[in-house]
Amino acid sequence: MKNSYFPGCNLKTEAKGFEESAIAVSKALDAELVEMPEWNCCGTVQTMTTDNLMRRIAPVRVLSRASKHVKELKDSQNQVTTLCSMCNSTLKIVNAEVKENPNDLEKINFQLENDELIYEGDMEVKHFLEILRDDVGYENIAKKVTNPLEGMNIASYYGCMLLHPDKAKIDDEEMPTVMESIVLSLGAEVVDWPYFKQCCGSYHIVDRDDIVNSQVTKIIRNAKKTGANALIVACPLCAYNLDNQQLEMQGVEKDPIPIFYFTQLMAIAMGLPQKVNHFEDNHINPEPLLKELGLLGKKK
Amino acid sequence: MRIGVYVCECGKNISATVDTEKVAEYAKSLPNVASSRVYKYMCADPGQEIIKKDIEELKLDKVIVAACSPRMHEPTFRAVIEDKGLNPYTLEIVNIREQVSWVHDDKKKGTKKAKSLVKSSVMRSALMEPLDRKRVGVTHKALVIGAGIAGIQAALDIAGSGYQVTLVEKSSSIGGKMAQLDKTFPTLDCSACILSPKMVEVGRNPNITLIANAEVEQVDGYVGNFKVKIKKRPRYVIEDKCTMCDDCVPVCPVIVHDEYNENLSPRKAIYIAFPQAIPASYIIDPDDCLGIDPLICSKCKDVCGPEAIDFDMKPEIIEDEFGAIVVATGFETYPIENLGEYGAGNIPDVITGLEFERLISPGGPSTGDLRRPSDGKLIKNVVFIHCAGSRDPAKHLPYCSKICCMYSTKQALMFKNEVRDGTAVNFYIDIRTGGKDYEEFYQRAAEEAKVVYIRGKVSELIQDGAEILVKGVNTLTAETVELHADVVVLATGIIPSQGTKDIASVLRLSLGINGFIKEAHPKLKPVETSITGVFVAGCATGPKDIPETVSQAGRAAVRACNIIAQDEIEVEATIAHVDEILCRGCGICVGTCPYSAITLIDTKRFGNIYKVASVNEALCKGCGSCAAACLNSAINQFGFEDKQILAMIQALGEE
Amino acid sequence: MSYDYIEFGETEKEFTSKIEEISGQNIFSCYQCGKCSAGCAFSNLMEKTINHTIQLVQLGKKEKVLQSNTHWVCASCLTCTVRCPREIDVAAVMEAIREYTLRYEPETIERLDLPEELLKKIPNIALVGSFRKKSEL
Repeated sequence: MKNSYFPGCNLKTEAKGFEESAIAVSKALDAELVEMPEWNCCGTVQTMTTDNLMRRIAPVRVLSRASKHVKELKDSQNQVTTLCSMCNSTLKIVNAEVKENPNDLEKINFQLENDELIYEGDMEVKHFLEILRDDVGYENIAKKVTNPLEGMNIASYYGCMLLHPDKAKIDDEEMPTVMESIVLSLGAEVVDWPYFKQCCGSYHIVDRDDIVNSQVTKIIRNAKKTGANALIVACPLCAYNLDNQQLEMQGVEKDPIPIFYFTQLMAIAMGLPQKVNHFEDNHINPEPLLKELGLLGKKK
Repeated sequence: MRIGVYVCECGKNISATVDTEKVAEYAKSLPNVASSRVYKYMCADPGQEIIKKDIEELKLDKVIVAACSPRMHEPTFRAVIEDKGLNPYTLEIVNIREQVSWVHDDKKKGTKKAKSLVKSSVMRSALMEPLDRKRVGVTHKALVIGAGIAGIQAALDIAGSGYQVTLVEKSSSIGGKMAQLDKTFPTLDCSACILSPKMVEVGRNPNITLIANAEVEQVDGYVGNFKVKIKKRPRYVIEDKCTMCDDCVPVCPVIVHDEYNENLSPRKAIYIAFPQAIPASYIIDPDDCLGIDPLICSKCKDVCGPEAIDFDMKPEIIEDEFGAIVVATGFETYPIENLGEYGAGNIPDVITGLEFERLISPGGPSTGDLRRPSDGKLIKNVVFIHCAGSRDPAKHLPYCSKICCMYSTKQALMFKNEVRDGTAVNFYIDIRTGGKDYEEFYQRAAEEAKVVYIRGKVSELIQDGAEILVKGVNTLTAETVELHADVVVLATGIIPSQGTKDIASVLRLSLGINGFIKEAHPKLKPVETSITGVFVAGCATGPKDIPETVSQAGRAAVRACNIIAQDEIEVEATIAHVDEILCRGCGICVGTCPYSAITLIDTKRFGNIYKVASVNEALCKGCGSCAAACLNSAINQFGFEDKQILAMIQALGEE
Repeated sequence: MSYDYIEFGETEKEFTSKIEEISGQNIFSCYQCGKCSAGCAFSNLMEKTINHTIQLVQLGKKEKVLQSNTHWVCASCLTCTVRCPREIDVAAVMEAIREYTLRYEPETIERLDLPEELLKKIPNIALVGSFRKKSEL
């Protein structure tokens, strides 16, 4: 099975390891992510105004190109997959909005005419987590695990955009389980912790890093307190904030814990080549922990 | 003599503060006690079985239950011992819950007190004698006092069960406060539309005798046999002859305030309260009419075609007997005059909720146009002040009047529906919407009509030019706020009506601290009163909305029917009796008896005539006042004889 | 200042209805339970609680609303939206207040001067997000 894959801005720059590991994992699980052609910015952050159609053009353009792409892929459902919570949220919300309001869609399609595009409202948007849960299945993930993550106590961090609002959520907004289920199928321990959906501070990192730092402190302290030795995330922005700001706050917060994109850990557990993870891009080097637990370079 | 003592744990209610095992053990050491046991819930079936089994097997002839108040389970345990052939009046209850466990913390002291009380009851029990239950006949007819929605519903329900019922109403028409309302929450039903079919049915139903413009003056007697005096004021218009042609009104020269419209509009001295009034007849207001003694004007009489006007009509006293009484004397609203900070009624555009109800009604003084009282300007901005005088134990009413959140919300919603570009601001302390569909109604007002709610009280209202300056607070934004309003509506609370106070005094009903009639039990006997055979419905017992009033009226009707459906009923057995040898005929007891049950009669002794007290067994309620007052111990009360009480006191003194 | 004069004049009504229009929310649905503020991860940094802000919008208090930093501190995490018992998209109301400022009073917004070094380091997604929420872009 193939999946039309929408990368978005970050996966090609700061988060190369997220993308490469995800693609590697997707291939190994027969749910291959195939990058769609001619993609543009998803339109993040999604506008919550009722009257700004302009801000909805970018995501609709993505959806219409993806719709073309899945037809070319043949072995694919009418869905486009993202690796980023913000892309997931923006695309899902706008997709739902234009499906509900055909008049708006008509106006947007009029703008897309220049690109000889039209969106017919025939696509679904998925985060890769949903593909793993709904199309692959946890059991099939577990079957591919050759290097179980023994000794890893993982706090699954959802952040806000995966769970809010109703139109974008991939799981129950108050008690999600998808990331924990993946953690279990990788042979790691699940940490039960309450801060899994606290917002990381998001785009405030640009001009209000105090807001982000205050959130990161709360989140990381809570993760450590509940016994986590690593965090997994599903969004490059959450990853940056939690990862980089821990380092920035070294003076205050000692002993940072590594932040993994969930497919990085999957790649390790599934014994995939380590170069896909690009750990050199992670701000907090996760290798010492992985070595300590004997999880690096081992093959069963 | 073989006495059985049964100590109840009442779950942990008693056993937490009283060592029930020790009490039972102690009881065994007391004279005549043949058995003593503890059980978790004595009132439950297994508990009752323990007592029954002991009576049979141990041949008990007296039973003592140490448990809760006799108000709670005396009837239960009387039935238990009667079932096994013992006289129910030989049961003794020791209250070790309300009088011991609930009021003490120290288990040691509680246990000691429980032991003392059990001991004193064992002493009394030995002296208790079997009593006979007395039975009296019943008049199969009910009296309902007050014809608002509560009284109307009660009368209809009694009549619907096939019994005769007399409905007495103070004013010229039935309908009460509900007849003044424009719409009702939470459905916005037109009040008159849902009320008038019931009013018409009252006038039509052959089982209902309606006496309007009348008051109950005196009630004697007792359950099953109340003797009632009703004073009917003259109407000066013969009901049967009046055709409601209205010819009399234009010619009447006297103009007075119209009470039905809360004095916001005028009416004549001859009038009808409102078009749907029942009885459907005009009436002359004797205080203002120029035709009644001395006869100065007779214009109405001159034009009256059917000759319905009779200036010489006299008050009428109607005497009748009833088996049961339902009191439904309703409420009044807290007087605006008491609210000095809100202008005490001196600011013409500060009005009450009921006044607003008339203003917005199409049948009201401004025919629904919503003009303000002072200058007739169309109303654009209204401020509603909730809890005007309610929830204010320091100065006004301590309680929540229950309906004001809802009626203010209803009025704000009605206003916004009428005046789309107007603003309605509600100042509230809490919004209380505890009724079916009430919360949804409140949300609808905010959401659909954009009624503004500001949490906080208004402290003062000031006339500022043609407008009213409202000085309030928004406790949520922590700001004092001011605004100007065309009209301010005070959601004044519910207080007992004068009629409620009057009838309580006529019937000797107990009143609660707020002046409402006290129920026999606040939860389980909500329509029963301190007087057997007298029931109560609606706002006479406290603030209520219409649905609650209607259901209560239904229950009061059923309870009244429970009595009047019977041919005979039992009356109190523990009544007073006189020892004629000891009685000196001083008459102190006659004045003491609150039920007029004692009279002095002549008796012949040693050839001479002496005065002695005599108790009317049917009237006596067994209150014991006479027995306590008698200087010569000549009056005793069955079941509470002096020797029994003294034995109890002695037992307590020995501890 | 802890005093206010309440008036429902044209200015007030216009502000309220503009916020309602942009957000698509019925502001008057709010009954001030405060759950939005209670669950907000950022309320410690807000000058006014969220429900306070909503109340001020109900009353048309434009200046007080715009002066507060509440809507700028909001990170659009939507916790308030998913938990609001009255189904108000509270985050959309915050967005509407931002939008109102950007559309009608952009001169009140301080221009950011971001060092090049920072621009290189910060993920694109944050930059795009930030500019879209906080500037006229």
